[in-house]
Amino acid sequence: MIQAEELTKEYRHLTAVKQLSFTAEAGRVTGFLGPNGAGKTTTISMILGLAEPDGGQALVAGKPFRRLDNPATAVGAVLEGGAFHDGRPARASLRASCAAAGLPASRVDEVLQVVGLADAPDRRVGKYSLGMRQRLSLAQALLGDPEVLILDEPANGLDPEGIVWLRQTLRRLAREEGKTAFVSSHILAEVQATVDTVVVIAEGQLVSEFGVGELSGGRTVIARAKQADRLADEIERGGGKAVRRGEELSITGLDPDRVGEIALSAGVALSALGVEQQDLEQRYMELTAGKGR
Amino acid sequence: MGHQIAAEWIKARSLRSTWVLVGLAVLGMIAQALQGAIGYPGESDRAQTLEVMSGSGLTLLVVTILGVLLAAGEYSSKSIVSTYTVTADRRRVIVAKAAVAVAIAAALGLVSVPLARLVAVIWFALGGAGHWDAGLGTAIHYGYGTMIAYAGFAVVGVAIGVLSRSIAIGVAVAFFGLFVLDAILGSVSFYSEYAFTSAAEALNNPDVHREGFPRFGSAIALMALYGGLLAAIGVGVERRRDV
Repeated sequence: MIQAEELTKEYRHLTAVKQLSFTAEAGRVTGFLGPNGAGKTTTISMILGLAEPDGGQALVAGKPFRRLDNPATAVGAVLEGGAFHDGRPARASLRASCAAAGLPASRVDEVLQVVGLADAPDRRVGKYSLGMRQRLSLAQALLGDPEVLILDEPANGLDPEGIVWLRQTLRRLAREEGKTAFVSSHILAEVQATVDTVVVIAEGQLVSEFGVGELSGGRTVIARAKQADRLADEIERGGGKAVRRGEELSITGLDPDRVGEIALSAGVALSALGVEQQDLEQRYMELTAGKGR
Repeated sequence: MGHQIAAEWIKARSLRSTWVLVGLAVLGMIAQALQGAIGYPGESDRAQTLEVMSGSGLTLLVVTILGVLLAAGEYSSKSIVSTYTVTADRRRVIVAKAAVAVAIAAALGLVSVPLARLVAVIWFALGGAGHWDAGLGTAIHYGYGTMIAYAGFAVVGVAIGVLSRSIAIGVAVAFFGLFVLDAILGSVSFYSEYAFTSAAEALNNPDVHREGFPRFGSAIALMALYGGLLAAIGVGVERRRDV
């Protein structure tokens, strides 16, 4: 489990993260979303002990990262772009991490097999494609078979097959092995297909934390009528909320059957009545509108 | 700590740049021995032999750069992120880097005198002037003096690499600080007895004491003091800095 408690990070002229609190539960994949400059990378850096918070704390498996006895067996991290020396062969990079964590060297070949790099282990990392570097980062994250996985833009550079593999791997690790997966990504459709919970931040602050399952309930009824004003009043009276755009009303809080009944009893003729399913992208755009830095 | 040293050794040995620098360091030692053999016409055999055996200034520069590279190279490539997500204790990482740099530098120091002897044998066999005039005791004295000098400079290189976090800046600081500024200060003031480069000179050529230079024992103490101090500053600063 990852817990961020009132996390704050200030730079000279900027508060990058301000009193940010959220929880990423074990057994779930948590998506971490926000516009560019929202503070996602700074937050991940604080969780991983790479940056010191100015306030609050981040706990991984109940402890600040820097107090973990053997971090590689507690947390595996994939950071954007990969963090490897271009001149070093992939196998040597992983062997060094294995040695530092006190893991057997045989673990290197196991994880290279898992991520599909078993046929190019001795190539220098600089010769790897972006997708191969991402896979190598995942291999590094999986070395210690950690309980917590933190992945910053893990799908960057992966081909479609790689993205499907990543999605299935994350879901399997969370649901079958009870691990905590915390994923930052800009590919919202992929996030929606992968995660259980979403944490949205903007301007360094928490905007919303919700389950992806809630999105299916977040549907909007669309009604068109020449007497849209009158229908909107009746909808409000009937307990719903209506937003008017010309002859079109976007209605929440009522199902389409009830909207039809209200229109009928009010004598308002409808030219169209339908349902618009809200997806993560819509929800995200609503939550972060005008909040990019 | 053993695990961390093993990790840093794997990192060091898996980079070509490490072996290129080791090669340059060996060339520096050969050049020093040749210069000693060739450059002492008319001097005594003893003076010629001591100059052949003495540690190389070029190798000191190379092992310093090696230390800078082992530390700053991780920041330039961002692989320090991987290092710190596997080992959260930054002190352990820096100490392990210093240990590996010391081991490589000390190994170079260890082969320094045998290599000098080999160069001298070839020189004399080719009809070069002079004779070898040093016993085993003197050779051992030069051997461990050179090992300590090289190791001290390697530690300082690691500390500069950690503090600068940039290969280019680290190499520039090391070169200017150690081989220009320290050398100039050492030549013009009372500082000469305490200069890092003077200590290295005293260790590289321990049987030739020059006025204004520290004695052998003092040179070891100075090397340990400066190396330890800079490494401690590096650890202290790095533990508080964000990556």
